[in-house]
Amino acid sequence: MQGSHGSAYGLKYQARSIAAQVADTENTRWLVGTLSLREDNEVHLIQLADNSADILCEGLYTHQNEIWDLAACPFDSQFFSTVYASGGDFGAAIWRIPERGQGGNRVIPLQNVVNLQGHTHKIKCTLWWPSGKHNQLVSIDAENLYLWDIETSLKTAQVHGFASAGELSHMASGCWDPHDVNHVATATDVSVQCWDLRSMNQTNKIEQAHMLQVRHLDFNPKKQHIMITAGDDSRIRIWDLKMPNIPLQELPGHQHWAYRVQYNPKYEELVLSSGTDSRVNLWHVALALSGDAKPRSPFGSPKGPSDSLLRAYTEQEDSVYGLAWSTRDPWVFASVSYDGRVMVDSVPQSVRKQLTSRR
Amino acid sequence: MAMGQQDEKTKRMRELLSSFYGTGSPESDTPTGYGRRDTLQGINLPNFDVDHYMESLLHNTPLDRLLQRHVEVAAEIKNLDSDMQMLVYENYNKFISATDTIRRMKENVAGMESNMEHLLDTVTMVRAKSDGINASLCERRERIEQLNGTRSLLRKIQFIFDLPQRLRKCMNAEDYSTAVKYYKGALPILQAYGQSSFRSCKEEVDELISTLTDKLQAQVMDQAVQLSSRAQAVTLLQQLNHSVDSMVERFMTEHWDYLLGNFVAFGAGKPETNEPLTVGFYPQQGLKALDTTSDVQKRLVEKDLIQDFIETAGTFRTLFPSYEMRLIGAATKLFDESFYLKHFVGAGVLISDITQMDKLVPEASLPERASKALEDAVRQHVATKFSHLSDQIKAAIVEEPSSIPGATADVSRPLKASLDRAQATIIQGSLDVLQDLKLLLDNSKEYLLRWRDEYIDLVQGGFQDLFTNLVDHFLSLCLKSGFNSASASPDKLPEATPSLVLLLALLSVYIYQTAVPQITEVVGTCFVGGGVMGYEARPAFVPSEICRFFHSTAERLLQQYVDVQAQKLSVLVRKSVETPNWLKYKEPRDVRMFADLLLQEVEILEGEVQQLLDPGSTRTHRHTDSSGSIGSSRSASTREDGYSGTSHRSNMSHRARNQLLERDVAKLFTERVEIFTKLEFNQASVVSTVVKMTLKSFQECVRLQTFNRSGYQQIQLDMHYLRDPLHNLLDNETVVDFLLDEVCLAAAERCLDAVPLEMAILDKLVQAKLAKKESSKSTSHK
Repeated sequence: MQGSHGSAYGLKYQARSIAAQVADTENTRWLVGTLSLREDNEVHLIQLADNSADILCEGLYTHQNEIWDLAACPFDSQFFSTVYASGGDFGAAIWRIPERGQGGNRVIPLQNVVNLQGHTHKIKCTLWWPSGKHNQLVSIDAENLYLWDIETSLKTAQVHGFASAGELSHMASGCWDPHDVNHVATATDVSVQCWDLRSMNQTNKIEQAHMLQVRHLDFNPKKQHIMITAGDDSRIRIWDLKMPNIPLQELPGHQHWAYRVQYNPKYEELVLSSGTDSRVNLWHVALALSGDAKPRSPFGSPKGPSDSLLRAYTEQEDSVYGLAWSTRDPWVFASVSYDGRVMVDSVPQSVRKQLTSRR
Repeated sequence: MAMGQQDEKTKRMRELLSSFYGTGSPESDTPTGYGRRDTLQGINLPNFDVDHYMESLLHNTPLDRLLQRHVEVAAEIKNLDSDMQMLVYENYNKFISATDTIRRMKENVAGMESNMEHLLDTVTMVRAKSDGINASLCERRERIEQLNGTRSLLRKIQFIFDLPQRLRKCMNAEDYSTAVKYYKGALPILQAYGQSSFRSCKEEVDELISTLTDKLQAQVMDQAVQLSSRAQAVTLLQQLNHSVDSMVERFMTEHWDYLLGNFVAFGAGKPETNEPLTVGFYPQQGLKALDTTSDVQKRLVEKDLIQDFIETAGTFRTLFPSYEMRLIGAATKLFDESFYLKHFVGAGVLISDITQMDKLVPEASLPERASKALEDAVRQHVATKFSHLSDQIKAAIVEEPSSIPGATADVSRPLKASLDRAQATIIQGSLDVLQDLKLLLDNSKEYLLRWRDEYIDLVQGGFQDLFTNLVDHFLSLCLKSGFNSASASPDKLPEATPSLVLLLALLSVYIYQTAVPQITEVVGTCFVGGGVMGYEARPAFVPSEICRFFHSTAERLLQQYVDVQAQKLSVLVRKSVETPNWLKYKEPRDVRMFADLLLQEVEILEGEVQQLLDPGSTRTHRHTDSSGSIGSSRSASTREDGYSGTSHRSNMSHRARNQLLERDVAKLFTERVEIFTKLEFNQASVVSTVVKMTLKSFQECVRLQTFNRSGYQQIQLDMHYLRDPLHNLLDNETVVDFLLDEVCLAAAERCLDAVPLEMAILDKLVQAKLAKKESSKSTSHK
């Protein structure tokens, strides 16, 4: 690959989760949580320096249990939620980032705001209200989905609604529809389920989104009903929820499991995915979605996988489980691999030019 | 001089006379005479100014001239006097003679009046006499005319009363035309008075005429009667206003249907009696039989039919000249119907016959139709060939191996047998089709000559379509298996098993490596030419494109095969990792079931792959020394940076830190194994890719769990058990070791209390397991 290498930041422990600090529009910041079974875990608040490619540690907080997932509050940069487990225990909690003390870089324990209690299975992820200030939050475990009313000032969390995907199902992750705040989609086994949060019933389903477990999914930030999924069968597929039988498009994905997939928040043509083949792939997704819904002609891909793959970032050396676009700079993203390395990379200049000139 | 004077004198005389009689001489009007000079010439003009003349004369003229002038004028006056006397005398004479004439006329006219009156009297008298005669004769003339009319009426009535008799007489004498003439003559009267006065007569006549009609019809239909008299009968019938349509219909139904029946029977009878018509199914025999006696016979029969047709058409034309259109219609219909039944083999004969037919029915444009029909037949033939071939190949692919007789030779390798058979079908079938079509081209030079190039294009296009079709077919077969419910195609394609996918992959390789070049070669030698569409258009058969299609298809199918197999194993592995409660796991006593299942699956896979693929090199994956790898050396440095940045943090136990460091250092110095290598068409590559994917999935699954000590040890044991068999299966120890170690390491990382089992214990447990397996195998064998 030509040109600039990304910047790296090493964590002490293994890690799975990273999230952009959405509420902070001043800085390019991410929260990273570590995954260490036997030691106290940490949450790093890292920042990409404005004028250089350096990554600075802006805050280091202790979090006792290992962090399986982490989500930043969209309206207040002080809050974020984690999904944790240690040994047989598991849980999800909302935390407040403490004020920086006089000791500068000292490690500070996080302030627990509220624990989401009531889950009977290992929790997979928490979803904040998609945009703006709202007191609702969704948490997903392997079989169930909870809707919570959160009062951060009172430190209370009450179950607002509850839905079950059924016994022995495996929900891996979920996504809140940014176009319709009553909808949440979950990756349940090989299918994608859509839930209506008012009735807490399933409204739509992609029966067989992938051959194996669906790992992750994301809604198109600009177009309603369009979503992208990643699965253990290494494929990445784009769906129109109005036509759940056939994917609109399929990307070759990864050489092993495709673990994370995310639309660029500003340029919907850009899709980022990461996989257990230690790669982070940047895709260009054609905008011509519905209309010519003909599912791949036999000779549709004579040019091969390089067709839509803009760039493969190969700096990571272990499975990449965490991936997050920056919310401030649409050309920058961070990925975290299992061996605890955070890489901050950027979209190639040529692609930026192409996309900005098209607007 | 004297002459000149004479002239002038006469001129002046004339002028004087004219001025006397007329209004004036034409010259007198012109002022030029006067204005030119004051001469004597103007003397006759009305505005002649005497004083002025005299004055100018006196002024301008010398004396001697004046004297001379005086003499001249005096002479002139004298002359004029004598002239005047002459004139008066002449006029007087004339007057006397005129007076005499008038006197004589008066005398002659006197008796005229009485004569004229006498003439008028005479004429009047003549006229009165003539009128008298006319009046006396008129009455008589009218009478005569009346008598005349009565007489002719009587004659007509007589004729009508006689008509039946006459008709009968004519009919007895078979003089039908006279009978019709009589009848036609009487027809107006009969029509006018048939209902009243001549009722009985008319009835009789009608009866007679109907018998006459019947007779005429019979005559028309009677083939024994001479053609001319039959034609005459038709004319007579038409004169009788008898509708010929029904006759034409009858004729048509009788003759034409018979003819058509013959044709149809001939066409339908062909396949049973004559082999050539089954060419579509037995190409070689069919074409060889082209020149056999049976074929000649068939041609003879065909000739007869054509003869029949010509005769019938001729008859029809003579009989019903005004029904040309009907004939053309019937001929066209007959032609079309019979020709579709007819096979093109006999078409050559037809072409020549058709020219004869054409003479009879030029408007039907039979030759064009014939050549068009021929072209259609050939096109259809070629299309049938190719669709048949395509069906054959498709059938060969999905056929159950057991259903093939003669495939028993290699029961242990059914896939290999299927592949061989499919390959043979493709190449043999294609060559057969080529051979057959080539023969056709050679045998039918004359009538294919005109569009030989088109024919060649047709054949080449046939191959192009065949192979494009096959690619589509392969892909659709496999996509179905890959997409299950998601695929919206409702057609009932047989579910593609992984082995079928592999089979198709290899078949694709075969096609682009062997079959297409071979076919291209044959096409190149046999079907030279073509390209009617011009050079700028793409040729009908593009082998390179076909090869490219099949190449990419082959790779895709192989990839799919590997994916499907790896997914199958991954599901197995995932279940084995997710099901137990690892945190409460009991001490491991035995290798878990799944390990055996896994090995079994890999063995089946290898069994399949061995049948179809070359063994390939034993070391297909690359080993990259990590020191030479940019990525890992970078990783070392960044890692150190990371540590230095956070080294002041103290609450990290030495043990954990050491463990991580150890791991990193170990990573640095062990060989880095590329897990994801490019897939190749050989056994080792396929099997090792599947195993690698499976073990990688294993690792990922393990990373999602948390283990207690016993759980970790169980994983350790399972991996230890797998190690030897996988070594044997893969012939490649490094990659297996690496991946198995990775799984163990992942389990250790996710273990709350990672204390590994000792090797001795592991070996012992594995031995026990193997012994148990051995004994169960032997008992089951008993």
